[in-house]
Amino acid sequence: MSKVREIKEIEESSRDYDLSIIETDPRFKQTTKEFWITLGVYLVFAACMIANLLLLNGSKIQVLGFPLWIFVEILIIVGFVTAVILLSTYVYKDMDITPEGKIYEKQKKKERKSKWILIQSRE
Amino acid sequence: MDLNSKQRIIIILVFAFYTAALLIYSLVTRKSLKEGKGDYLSKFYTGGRTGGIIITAMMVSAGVAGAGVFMGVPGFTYTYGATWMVCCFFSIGSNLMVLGLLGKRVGIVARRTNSKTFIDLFMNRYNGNKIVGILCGVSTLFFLGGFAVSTITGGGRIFQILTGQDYRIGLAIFTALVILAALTGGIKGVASAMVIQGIVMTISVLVLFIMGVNSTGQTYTAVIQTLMDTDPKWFLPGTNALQTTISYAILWGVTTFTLPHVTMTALTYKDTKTLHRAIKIGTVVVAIWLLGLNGLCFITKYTFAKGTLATADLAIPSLAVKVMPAWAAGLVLAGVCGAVQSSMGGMIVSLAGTIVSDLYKNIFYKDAKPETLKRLNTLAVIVVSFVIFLLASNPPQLLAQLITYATGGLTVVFFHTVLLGLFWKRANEYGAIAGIISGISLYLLIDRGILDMSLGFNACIIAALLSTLIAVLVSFITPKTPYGVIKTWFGTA
Repeated sequence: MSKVREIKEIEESSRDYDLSIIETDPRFKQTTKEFWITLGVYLVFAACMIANLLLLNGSKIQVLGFPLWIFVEILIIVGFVTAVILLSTYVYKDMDITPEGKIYEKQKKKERKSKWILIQSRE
Repeated sequence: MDLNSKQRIIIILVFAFYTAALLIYSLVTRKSLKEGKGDYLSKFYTGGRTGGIIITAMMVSAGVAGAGVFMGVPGFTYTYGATWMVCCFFSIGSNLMVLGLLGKRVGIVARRTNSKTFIDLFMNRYNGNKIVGILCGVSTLFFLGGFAVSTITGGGRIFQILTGQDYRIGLAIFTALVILAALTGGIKGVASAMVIQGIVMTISVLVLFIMGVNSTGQTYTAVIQTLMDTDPKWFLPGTNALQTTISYAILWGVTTFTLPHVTMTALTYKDTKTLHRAIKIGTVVVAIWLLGLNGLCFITKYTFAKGTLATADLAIPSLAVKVMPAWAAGLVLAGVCGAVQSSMGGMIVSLAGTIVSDLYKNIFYKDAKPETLKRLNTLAVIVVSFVIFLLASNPPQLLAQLITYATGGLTVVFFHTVLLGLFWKRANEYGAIAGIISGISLYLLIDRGILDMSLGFNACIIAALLSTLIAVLVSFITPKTPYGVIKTWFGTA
């Protein structure tokens, strides 16, 4: 209660306040999480590309007619595109981006199924 | 390049058909400025925040893939070999690095603060500080302006080579098309044109790749094998390969969000479903472009022996003329022009926004009337386009230097401004100002060798990291950003 009162008393223009009293919007917590995952995925991709260029280059091995490092380069690119698709589909959460919006909760499979059965039985 | 007049006429006809299609499309979509919520400026710069999947994907993809992807990088790869090929592939992450990294966060705070442009948004974050606004605005005008000139110059050169017409005619056509798309539909008009341009680019890359491989009379892998036997050094990483690849993994990947004409996409999309699908489509499209164009580097290297090209930049257009029938070469010309115009369109809307919304309205005339802003905006689009046209027609000496520093300049100005502003509550306007000024100074000093501390990396990488450190330190020793701003940017509404 006292914390609520304290928050209300702070003026908008005040620079003298404790940052921890600001209750972080759950959407921002989620976007921060997504930021680190996204950056991580890209950095792994970049590291693989660079390591492949520097370490496998010069090898005499060929795969499907391609020098090994070019073949692996293509695999890394395909892997990255796949990772982006998986990330956008399963990791990123849908949310309402209006000022006071919320994160959309994914309906659980079971709940959806039971709702569907309920609708069917009514019909 | 050896082209007879009949070939040139066919190339011009295909290009004219493409230009006419774009003109008609711009006129058909002219109503987009009347639709959606908000005032004129809001609709002009954000499209009423109703951007769909394809438009969102193309704004980032086509915005990143300018003349450089068709000319500059294939030219560098032709000359310097495998290292540059790897560097070019880092752009595949551009959609992820803009929309995935900060798309949602920017989308939410832009709606909370009703921000119309990239700089408008961050001026709000830094307590409406005019110095931050002026520094960001002027830097954008100089660096993004230089970038726009270099982009249109590349397109003009290809136009001249393939059509045999004056270079300035090409520039004039590009400029007129961009003005028309911008004035009739604002950012939505430019983005709609990008969809057509993106489709033409994709088709032209695929056609060129298939015909390029066929022209060698060998299988693709046999061409690579021949090159490995004749020029094995071309495949090996050059000196300083580690630092070069790390530099471009950052510059062409992570810091894509520092390009205002690309990041403004995050202000325009409709909802997160759209955003997620745009990331997938955009990444696949850019991968097709880069795999196709980089894959062609083996063919250009095989087809054109060392010293047979006027400049390495012309590897792709030269291949188009040499191996393709005239109609297909015309299609490639249309594809390159599409790449140039789509990047240019975004840049011009972004530059006009900097002048009208960020500098005129936010800094000097806060109470400017909507009608005045509307007129000024039209004037800004025309004047900015015309200035870019003039500078590209007759580039002054200073411009060459400005172009060299264009993307690096945007990186050192916006890297810490955007990242710290979005994700660190303690970041304030004092830190931002210190970071921007030190970033630009360090970049110039390191690049010119006055400060010997690049460690082999691109100068702007070290400058961006050091200026971020300076911004953090200054933010810590100066007062916090006012409570109201931080609550809007981090708290529940």
